[in-house]
Amino acid sequence: MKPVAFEIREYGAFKVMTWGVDPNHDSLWAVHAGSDGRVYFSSCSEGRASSAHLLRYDPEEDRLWDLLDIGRLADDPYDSGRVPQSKIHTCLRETSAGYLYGVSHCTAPNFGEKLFEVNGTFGDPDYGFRGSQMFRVKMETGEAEYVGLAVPYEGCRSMEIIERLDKAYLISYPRHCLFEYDLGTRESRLIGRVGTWGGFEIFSDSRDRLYGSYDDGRFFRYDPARGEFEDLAMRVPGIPGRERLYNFFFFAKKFRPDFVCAAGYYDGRIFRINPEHGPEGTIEDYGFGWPWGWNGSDWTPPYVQSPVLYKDKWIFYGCNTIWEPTRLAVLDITTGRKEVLATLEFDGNPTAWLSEGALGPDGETLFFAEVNMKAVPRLIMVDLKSLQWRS
Amino acid sequence: MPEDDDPKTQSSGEGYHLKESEIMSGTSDFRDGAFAFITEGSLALREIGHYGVAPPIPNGESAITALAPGAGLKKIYGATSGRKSHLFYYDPSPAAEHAVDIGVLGQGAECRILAADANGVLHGLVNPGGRVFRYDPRGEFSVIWKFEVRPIEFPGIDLGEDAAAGVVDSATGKIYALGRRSSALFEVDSGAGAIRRLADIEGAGKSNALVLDGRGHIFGSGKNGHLFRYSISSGSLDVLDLQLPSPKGMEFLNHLDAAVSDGGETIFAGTTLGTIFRLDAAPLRVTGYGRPLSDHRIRALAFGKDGIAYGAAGSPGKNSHLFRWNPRTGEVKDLGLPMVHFPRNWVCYDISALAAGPNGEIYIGESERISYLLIYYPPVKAAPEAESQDIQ
Repeated sequence: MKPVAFEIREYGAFKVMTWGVDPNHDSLWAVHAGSDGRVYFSSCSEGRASSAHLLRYDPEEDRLWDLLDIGRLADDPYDSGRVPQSKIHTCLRETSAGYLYGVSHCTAPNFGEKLFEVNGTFGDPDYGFRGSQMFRVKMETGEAEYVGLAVPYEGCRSMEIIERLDKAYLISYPRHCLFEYDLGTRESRLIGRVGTWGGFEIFSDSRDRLYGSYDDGRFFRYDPARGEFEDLAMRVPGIPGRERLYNFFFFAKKFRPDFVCAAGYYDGRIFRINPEHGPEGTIEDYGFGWPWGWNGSDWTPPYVQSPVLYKDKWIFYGCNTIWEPTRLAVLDITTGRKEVLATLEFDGNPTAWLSEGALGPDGETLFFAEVNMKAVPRLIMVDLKSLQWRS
Repeated sequence: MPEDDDPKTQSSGEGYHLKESEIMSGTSDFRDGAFAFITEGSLALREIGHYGVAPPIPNGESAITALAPGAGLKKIYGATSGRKSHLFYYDPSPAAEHAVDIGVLGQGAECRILAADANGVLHGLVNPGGRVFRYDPRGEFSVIWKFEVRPIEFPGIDLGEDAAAGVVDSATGKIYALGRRSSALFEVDSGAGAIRRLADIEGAGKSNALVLDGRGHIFGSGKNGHLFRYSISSGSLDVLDLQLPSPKGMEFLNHLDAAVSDGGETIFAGTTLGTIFRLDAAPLRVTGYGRPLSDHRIRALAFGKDGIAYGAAGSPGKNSHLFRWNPRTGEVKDLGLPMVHFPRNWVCYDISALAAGPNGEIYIGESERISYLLIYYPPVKAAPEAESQDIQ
């Protein structure tokens, strides 16, 4: 655990934090507001080889800490020639024992290269990705610990921990298989394939069952206690006639046991999943995330990103057509009203994607993991008290 | 900043993101240098079932582990493994063009041995236990809105252990199989309900394939990768002074993994260490062709109508690549991963079975929790190219 120099610039209600743990980092993919009042996030790269770092911001002390370098922790250095441990996707999970768990992911090319191909290098001992390396941080002390190889050869974009079983469940990339990782014995087990391009997110209900969606938007449920999959009738909401395309859900974020907010990949909708309601759970569709819907000519409706539930009434989220500047939007779930609040562009560098959002410990600050057009890793903070919006 | 992070001289320039759109659509550089999917020929996908007509085989039971052309190459038969093992057929005729679940071969079962005899009767073994079954398709009926199947017959005999490998003598319908535990070679006559133990062959139970040449000789591998030959007519067994091609020093780990005969005296085969070779039965000779992929396992081979052998290379849990092997030119080419976009987007990562179809197509049996039957259509060869290959 090392202190990190950082800078925060203010733009009205927005603050933008930058830091320098690795000049090859270009993006930020995970953010988690810890129960300890600190904000954890992952500094990553996609364009050049690096090792992802987990950082911790302490708002009260206004200090930033470097908790771990996953490549170093897992003895898998970024310049090994293999696909590097360059990313920690939206896979930070806190447990009741006071640990924050996470796993690594792959996206950056081999050291010195520009092209990345996880399929072509798959399983190659000299060039391929070794797999998703799991870590945990004791939140009280900030001490980082290596927990093992959770998914061999593949990356991971979504993880859930079932504490009762002391097991983690992970969706692999690129093969889109559900894996089980025993946190006690540190053994990884393939459960089965769930998709091909999408369907990479899972969440759990209060009975410790896991929910996910196939590529075409059909939900499945996996019960670890029984070791059985169920195909559910529930589907990701979509534009009529396009339901069987890549309309899996992503950006699933559980705010309450009965309130999981998610977005449809292909059809740009935002919706609530209530896994506690009825035998299969239900969906409340809030429609397109973009307040003006879809123009019918763009490749897809604008993507909805990183929803954050605020006071059980509003959902803040990012919304854009891919590689267009992202807007910050808000939805009033009681009235259905949606409003674009701001275009996210700071220092002439537009936001391309908000990867994950969290409500900070003060209950009034939004934290967003950001990917921007100029490849600068930044943490975006939004002060809801000073933001102009119709609350 | 960590102290040793300084010399990060990488060539990709400032502020570069490899955008998803670049990966999906494929920049020319990406297509040229880092595209792992098949780009020669085309692929189709079929679900193992037909909604509204033939209920699909459920996920978890659909991993295709055996494929066999039916009589006259009119249908392709297959078997799955998983919570249940199913026997199915795919009917490529324009009047049907669907896959049909014939029935269940066993619970918690695996079937990797399936082949038809000259009358089209299918013979197979299902694990655990090497349970014998047969299926006579005569009387089947299949059109796009309806199908009828025949009963699967279980004569009530088994090997008493898991079957490691097997081959069917199309002339007699007898199965010749290796026991996984005993390494014994068995002869199974499902019609008579009889099993004979023919020979014990040290190390043969670790192999995954047997092959029958056009002269009635069965070939397989035993201890230290030595080939053996069993003559059906004379009942003689010879352990040959020929070894499977192997990385030097790993011969003891190398076993026959897949093999296919051209119907005469030439056999194309692959090993568990991922090497491929040609076996000429008369005079006996092994010619190695190296490894098509930097991985172990040659999990399936089929001899196409174009005179080219097609294979699936790669260990389970890693990526299986399709490769082709042209015996006329000696060319071995890694074709890549099968990716399909119609009728659904899908990448096939695990292949356990291949079979050649009547029109030059190659059937690919995917073997995961969610599995499909894929069909590979090799590219049409220009006439001059075909002729020049015949010069070899």
